[in-house]
Amino acid sequence: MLQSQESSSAASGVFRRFAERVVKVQVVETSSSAKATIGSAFFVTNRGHLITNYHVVSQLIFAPERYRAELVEATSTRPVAVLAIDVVHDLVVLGSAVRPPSHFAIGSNSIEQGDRLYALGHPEDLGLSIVEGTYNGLLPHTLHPRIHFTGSLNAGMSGGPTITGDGRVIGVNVATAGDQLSFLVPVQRAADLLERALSSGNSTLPPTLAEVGRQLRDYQDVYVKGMFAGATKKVDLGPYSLVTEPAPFFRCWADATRTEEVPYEKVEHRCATDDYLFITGDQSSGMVSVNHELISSRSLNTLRFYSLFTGRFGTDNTPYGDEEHVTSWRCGTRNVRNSDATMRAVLCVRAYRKLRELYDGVLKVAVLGQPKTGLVSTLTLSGVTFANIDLISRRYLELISWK
Amino acid sequence: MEVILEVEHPNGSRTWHRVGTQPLTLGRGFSNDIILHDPYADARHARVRRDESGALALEDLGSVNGLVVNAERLHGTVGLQPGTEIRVGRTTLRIHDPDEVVPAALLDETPTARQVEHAMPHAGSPAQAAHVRLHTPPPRPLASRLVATALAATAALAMGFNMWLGSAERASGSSAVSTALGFILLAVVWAAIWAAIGRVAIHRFSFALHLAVVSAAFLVLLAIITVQDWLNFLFPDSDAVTTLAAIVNFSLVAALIAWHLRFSSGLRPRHRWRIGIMGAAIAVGIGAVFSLTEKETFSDVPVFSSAIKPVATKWIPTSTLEDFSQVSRSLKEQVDAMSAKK
Repeated sequence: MLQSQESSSAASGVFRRFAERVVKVQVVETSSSAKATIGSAFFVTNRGHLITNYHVVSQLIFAPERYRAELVEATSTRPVAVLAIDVVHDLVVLGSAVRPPSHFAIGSNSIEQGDRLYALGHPEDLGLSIVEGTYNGLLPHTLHPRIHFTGSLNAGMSGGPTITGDGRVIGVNVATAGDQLSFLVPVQRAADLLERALSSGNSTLPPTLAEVGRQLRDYQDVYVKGMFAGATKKVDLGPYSLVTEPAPFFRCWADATRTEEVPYEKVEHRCATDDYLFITGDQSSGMVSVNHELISSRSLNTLRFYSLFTGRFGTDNTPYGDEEHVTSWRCGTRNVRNSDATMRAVLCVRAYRKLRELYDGVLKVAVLGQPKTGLVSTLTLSGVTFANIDLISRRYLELISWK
Repeated sequence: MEVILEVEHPNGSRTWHRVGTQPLTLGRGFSNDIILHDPYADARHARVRRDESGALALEDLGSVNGLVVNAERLHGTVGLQPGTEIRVGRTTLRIHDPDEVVPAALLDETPTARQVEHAMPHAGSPAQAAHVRLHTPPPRPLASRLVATALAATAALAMGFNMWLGSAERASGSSAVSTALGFILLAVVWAAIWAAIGRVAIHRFSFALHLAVVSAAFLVLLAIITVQDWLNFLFPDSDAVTTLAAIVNFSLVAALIAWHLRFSSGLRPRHRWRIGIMGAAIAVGIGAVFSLTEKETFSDVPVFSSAIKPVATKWIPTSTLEDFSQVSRSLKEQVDAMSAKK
């Protein structure tokens, strides 16, 4: 009781001291003046520079002619411009003509698990709020670092800062999984981006789609190149030996289905990254997954088993796509043989319409040759270059073998 | 104004008379213009004359049974408009418009009729007549009914079996049965439509023959689908298989129409096939338009050939991984072209 009173009075102190450094930003559709998105941002220089999330302003990047961004003050709004973006870490630096009375100084910090943190932001457009929580370290298995914050971030708090009681910024509010499970971008990323924005000065043009595309290409090049290279981890599934955990940032899990309703058994082994990137409202990217599905049956005859096999092979489990951002899929099928196994392989590809040289690719493989056992293996790559789809599918096909 | 007077005698025979210019009498007596073979008719029963306005009318001449119109007996005068039906004793009179259309003549396919037709120029030469190829007589009803039933049952069983093979659910037996029953319903309706067309065109209601035709077509279709599935598995994305399948399906539709016409029209074989090919062309045209629109419409669901068949791997023609890279490069060109189009 005493402790909770103590902490809430601490929270009110934090709120009083730092509230003026946190503002609301909104993206407005120019023609209708309707709010498209709202989020939070915080001052990081005395010259009006702010940090917020890329996803708060993504519409502005995709359609600068249709949207404008502004900072909301008590009675008026002030225009803001995007100075630098970091799509991968979901950050942007905004510039404004506001001269804030005070600002956060951002840079590296030391912090320990269990330390008390305060997230600031504008949840659901309801006015500035403070949320208390604890620092729970970095998430394991992620390609780019994310802080696990135990506290309730809400929509609209995105882009706001999470700080210690004495006002040191630890991270930028970015996402929530509900149930007090929330995520922050480590502040160091924001500091790096700010430095980039300040060093380039005012000479450069505002970042465009081309810049988003370039960052995505650089990002995928780093992680895709290392997948299935060198000593690849393998897992045995039935009579097959298959790739698993293509890289350390993958998480894998397995599941088996044996029910009375269907006359067959299914064992699944699935690996995926937790790192998907928000690109804009209808498009996300950067997912990589590997899914092995072993099906077998004792009660079905061979012909009926192969109907089942065909059905499982034909099942669509490709990522969602929106016509504005991606083309339709185009697929090619071949029966192929590697040094060990005979397979039916289908590669489906679609191109990103607005981000040049980026594609989604899905490789589906059915391993042939067993009367009542079959394997359907699916590799999904999104937001990668074509050369990488080609490279990774090739490696993937080479690595499928019998036990 | 003229009308045609149809007289249906009590024994079912019918005669037609043109009525218009002069007055006519009807009755059992031989002095009448139209003699009725009917013990319920008077010797002089009625006469046709023009009324005051000049329209044709039938006048009762004081007969015992009078004129019956719309189930009412009367002893007066009845106007003769096309569509009118009048009973005189047990004889039925019907009035027709002289411009009424009659169906085309039937093709007489009995052997004697054919022989005479072809042998005519060489009449008196039996040796020549013997060389005339005889047309097959129409199948006997019982035989065609047996054939039709057997074909329909086989097709229904094949459809059901195919359904059962294609499903891996526990309860696939019931879906197999419903597929078979669904096929029978469809085939019966289809055959009935063609038989009705035949009834109108050549006065022949050949339901059994049409049922046999549609059942045979479905059996062939099932065979085509099965073979095509196997070819798609063995030779994926093959233009040759696609073309072959298109040709075979086209021929099947043309043959289906031509055979239905064989039993529902008096058309000669050449014309039947011409119509069949035209029908197939229309069907293929519609199909092509649909598949083109589908290809142009955006979808986030990929379309590919997923057929997998149980066959020893040594019999499966395979490509190398290099060939597969070629495939992926062509995919890149396709999606790049789509992306550039916007």
